[in-house]
Amino acid sequence: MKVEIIETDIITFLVNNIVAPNTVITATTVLRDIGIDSFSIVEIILFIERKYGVVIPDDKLIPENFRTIQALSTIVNTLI
Amino acid sequence: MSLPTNLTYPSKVYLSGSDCFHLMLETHAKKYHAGGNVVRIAFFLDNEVTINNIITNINRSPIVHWLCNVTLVKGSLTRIPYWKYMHTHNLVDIYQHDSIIDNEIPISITSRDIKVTAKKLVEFDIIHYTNNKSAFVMSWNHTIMDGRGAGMLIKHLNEDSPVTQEDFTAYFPVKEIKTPLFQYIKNMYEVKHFIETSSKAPISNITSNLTSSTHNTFNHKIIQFNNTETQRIDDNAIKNGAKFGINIFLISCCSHIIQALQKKRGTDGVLWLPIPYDGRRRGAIGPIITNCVLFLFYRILPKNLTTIKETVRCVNEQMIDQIKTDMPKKYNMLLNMMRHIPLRLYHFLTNKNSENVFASFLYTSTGENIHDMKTLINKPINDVVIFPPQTFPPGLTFSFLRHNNILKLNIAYSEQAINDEELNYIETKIKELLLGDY
Repeated sequence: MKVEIIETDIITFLVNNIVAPNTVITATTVLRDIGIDSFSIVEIILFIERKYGVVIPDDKLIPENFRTIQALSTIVNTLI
Repeated sequence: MSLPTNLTYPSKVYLSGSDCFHLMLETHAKKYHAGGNVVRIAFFLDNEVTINNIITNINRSPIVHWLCNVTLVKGSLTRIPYWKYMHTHNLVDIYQHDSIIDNEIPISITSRDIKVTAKKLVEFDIIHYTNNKSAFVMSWNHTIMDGRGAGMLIKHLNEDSPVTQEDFTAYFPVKEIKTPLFQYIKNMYEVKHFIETSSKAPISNITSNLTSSTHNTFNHKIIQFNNTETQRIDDNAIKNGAKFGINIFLISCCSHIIQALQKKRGTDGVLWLPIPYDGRRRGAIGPIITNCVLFLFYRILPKNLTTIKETVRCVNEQMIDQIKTDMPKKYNMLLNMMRHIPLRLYHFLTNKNSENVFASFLYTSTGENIHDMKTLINKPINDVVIFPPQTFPPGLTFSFLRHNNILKLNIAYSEQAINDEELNYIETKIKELLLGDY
């Protein structure tokens, strides 16, 4: 699967469920800057589990991998 | 500067389920003669000019005006309680104080109550210190606004541009969406089962000596960590498996301390903690009015308190399970339903399962709420302190705040919950656990 498709899926999930209307999100937006906190991160992880049937292993659950959607999508892509 | 005249003020705002929970807490407080349900946030500044500017912004704020001109209309079996805008012109109270001790918040401020029936539900204090330094304190009754809402209010007061009707509307809660009846009943059963299991008595409670006749005195102990220490705490959180931010590490350390303290008293056991988190959309400017929190509940058994790592693992697991099953939203639905129940019955139902124990202790964290607020009217904020509500029982709240990459802990405690020796123990132990060599 292309990383860009995963990025789009995650952005759509965030827009529909997590962030305020009119929030501008791109693949390179720093998630913390748009208010994404630890609870939201858990929701994103659970979305990824449901959507792609993959579990992000413990050693990949590090802040760097959740800094941007691009970073996260790259990790997810390696697991699919 | 005067209030904007082109805005429509909502005449009726229904209390949310969480708001009503706070109403019930007021009943609880009355029973135990406890301190009250007032939250305060203090900003320490270098420049008096800032203070004059913020006063101007407070006086022209439509949301502050609304908060000073509403009254609570109590609920009944057929009516949900609501805030009624009175179309009055009460002016906001801004009290001025002088203090010769730098950074001191006078007890005349911290001991002042704002009852839910007060005419004005928000108040401000300005403290003038020596050397042109000052502090700006906002106090409010928790029933009408939560910590995140207060952070949004401060951000609004920090802006010079006039409020548009669109923004003003966003400061208030949106109309609730009704859940289909079948779904509603199914959720109720699920959440009832969850809460009954999670809060099953006996629960270890920091207040072992519950009496309703004594007057409760609340105190605060503030512990501040420097940059290096804060970085070390962040690192320790990761080392102990707190993968989603440091909160779970902080909760785990607090739990270990309470368990150790209870062991010394010979009353240790299962810990039960309700942990609030913001239920708003991230990055939103509102709602400012009403409590928009969701709750996670952690039941921590003695076997999960052997090491910090094990406690973090156990709490992580419970958090993920609850978010996965949408339990916080379902619990919120239960709270919304409870709005139809008379307060005394509400109080009885809330307490019966856990045998009068609300929580083993309370934990709050401002998260990123205040962290990024570096200036007030374009002048640097030197320091921020939050004073959590004086909820009794349990009579002990660990309130964490991060500002300018500095972690700070305010321990709010009732003298009936812990004594001086125990407070010293908590202080020593919290530093030891947070800064430990893992």
